[in-house]
Amino acid sequence: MGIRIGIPKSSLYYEEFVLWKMFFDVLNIDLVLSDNTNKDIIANGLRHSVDDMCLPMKVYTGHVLNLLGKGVDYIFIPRIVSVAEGTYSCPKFMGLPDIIGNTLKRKTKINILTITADAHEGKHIIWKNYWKMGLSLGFSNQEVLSALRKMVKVKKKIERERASGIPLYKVFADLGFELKVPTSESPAKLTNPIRIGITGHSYLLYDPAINMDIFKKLNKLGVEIITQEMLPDSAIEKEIEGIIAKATDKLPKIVAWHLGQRTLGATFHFLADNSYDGVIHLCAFACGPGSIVGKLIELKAKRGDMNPLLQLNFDEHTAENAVLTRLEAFVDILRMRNQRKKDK
Amino acid sequence: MGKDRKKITMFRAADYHSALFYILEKMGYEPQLGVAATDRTLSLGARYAPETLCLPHKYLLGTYIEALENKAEAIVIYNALAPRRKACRGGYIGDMQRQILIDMGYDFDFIVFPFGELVNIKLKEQGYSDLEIMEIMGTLIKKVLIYENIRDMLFKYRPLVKNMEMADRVYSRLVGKLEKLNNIGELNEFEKDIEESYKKIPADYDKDILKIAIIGELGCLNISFLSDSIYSLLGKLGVEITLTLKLTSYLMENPLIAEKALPYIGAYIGGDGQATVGYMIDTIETGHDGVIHLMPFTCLPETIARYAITEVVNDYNFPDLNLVLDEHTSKTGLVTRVEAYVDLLRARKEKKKRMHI
Repeated sequence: MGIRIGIPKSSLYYEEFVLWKMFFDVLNIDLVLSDNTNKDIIANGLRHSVDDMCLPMKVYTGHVLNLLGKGVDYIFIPRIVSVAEGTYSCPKFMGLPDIIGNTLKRKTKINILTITADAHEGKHIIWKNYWKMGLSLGFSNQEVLSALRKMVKVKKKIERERASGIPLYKVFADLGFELKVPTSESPAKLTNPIRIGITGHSYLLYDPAINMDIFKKLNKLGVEIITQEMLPDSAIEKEIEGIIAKATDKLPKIVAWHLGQRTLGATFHFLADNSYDGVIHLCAFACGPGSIVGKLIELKAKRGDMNPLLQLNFDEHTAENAVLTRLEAFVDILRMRNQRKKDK
Repeated sequence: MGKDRKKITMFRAADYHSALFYILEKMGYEPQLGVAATDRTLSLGARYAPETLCLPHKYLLGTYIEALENKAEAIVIYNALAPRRKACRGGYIGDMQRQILIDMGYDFDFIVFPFGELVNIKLKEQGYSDLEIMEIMGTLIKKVLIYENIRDMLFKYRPLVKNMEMADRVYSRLVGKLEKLNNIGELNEFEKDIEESYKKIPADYDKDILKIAIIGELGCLNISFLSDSIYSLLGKLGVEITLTLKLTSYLMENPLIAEKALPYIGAYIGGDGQATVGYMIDTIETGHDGVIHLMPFTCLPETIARYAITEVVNDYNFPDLNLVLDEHTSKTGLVTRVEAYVDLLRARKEKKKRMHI
């Protein structure tokens, strides 16, 4: 009888699942994923959350409840403090096991399987934490070590491929994890194509239930979409280096959140690159990093000759039609702008 | 020592300036206090800051703008410096505010608070020897501690005295005096005097008072404009309050407090989130009647702390009042809730007493 471990399909699932899967697969653990975000998951999440929480975290709680209904032995809720030295996760990821534990321990029979990953303690400590977790599940030293070796190998492969300029979604696709990037089917067929870059945290971009299926809506409007995960890392890093170079020495030079950094770099790239017609930045209401990153983007977009920018905020009260109206208006403006450029 | 001292405007946070101006002067600046905050300060901050930024930072942005409107050459900007505090917005906020101010067209110089390494560098520039620097730091710490003592005593005597305004007046007088004292010997003398000064006010020491601890985010607790109305209301209602998070406990974190929070918050989660839960448990253990949690709307660590506090309330059967502050918070709404909470605590205390008899 194998162990069944549930993984909520939300939050850092989009970033880290590839690695978790490698580890658990070698140990022959049955991984159970929660359903795609749906109305029930959102409603359950809202019911069990503090009002001020951002929507993605409320949804995460819903995913955990969804898994509890599937009969799993453990639910894997990692505590990701930082993925690279000098960067941090949002406090909500740092406190994720606490949030879920405090919410559900009293009400349900939840078994939280957790691990602390803090790059500042050194890589070997993270591996050691995984090793301890493997042992605590009752596997032998040998088995856990082979799982770890596989995971480290994959992690190195990911780093290598990203450094060589392969976009993140392709790296993940090679490893069997599909990040649902928009497929711009045949932009050539469109009479008047528009090219838009979309940025935001991965759990917003790739969860159509939260972002009101923004890719489909834009596709229908004849838009070719490029997301931040479709950019090579070098393009993003170049922008980040530019930000750091211009910053003052007296204060931290760039936001420390790793997701925020990527969003910031990618948005700056989309804003400055002439081959794009416009940029859309998605953000969750009450997102802490988002509020600051969003403002920095706004300040950048005001300066110099930048592409037009649309910032969309999402929470549980966001109306689908309101999002559609704003997208239509934005695309119309971009079309008019292109026409005017052509006329000149 | 340079004669032409640079004028620098410091934001208002309680009356900590009475202690902090000392170090700014030693560092070669001419410190000035920003104008007293009004509703305009906050609406200025709220207008230029991102919509969901936390309240203390909106307030601070407002004070920076007002300082620059008044032609300040240099300002003190708050930005948390400890590396792990970067997880919360406080770790980057200063640079965003700087960029907003530049975007508004202001040209200014600034230094960052907490001063950190800058103190050492500036003091050396001023020609102080290592020994003198140690003495200066000792005096600074003494002044900060004395200031906090003056404020704690105010909170202690406010509910007891017959006329609360007299206690407030004593407080202002003591703070004014502290600002002028820069000699460790004089400070030691002055310290003995503090409680005596409050004791001279006519008071009713047999009064049955409640004890409430205030937990939560540093800015909300220590910026008078945001919370002083709540504190003085509590004083009027006959409640002695314990302020848990002060400047000293922020700069020198108490590991025991974090340890107490571990069953609920298993690791440091940025900002003051873990400390809030730790202080809540500490509050219960040290015999308080209630606890008020002050937090800014959308504060990341405090929101996580909310989840934990709900559990602490259940586990210890201890009532809490959660007040979420933002620029739309109505003063009347706060007053009603605080009054109701104090009534509830009184009834609870009465009931407990009856049961023991």
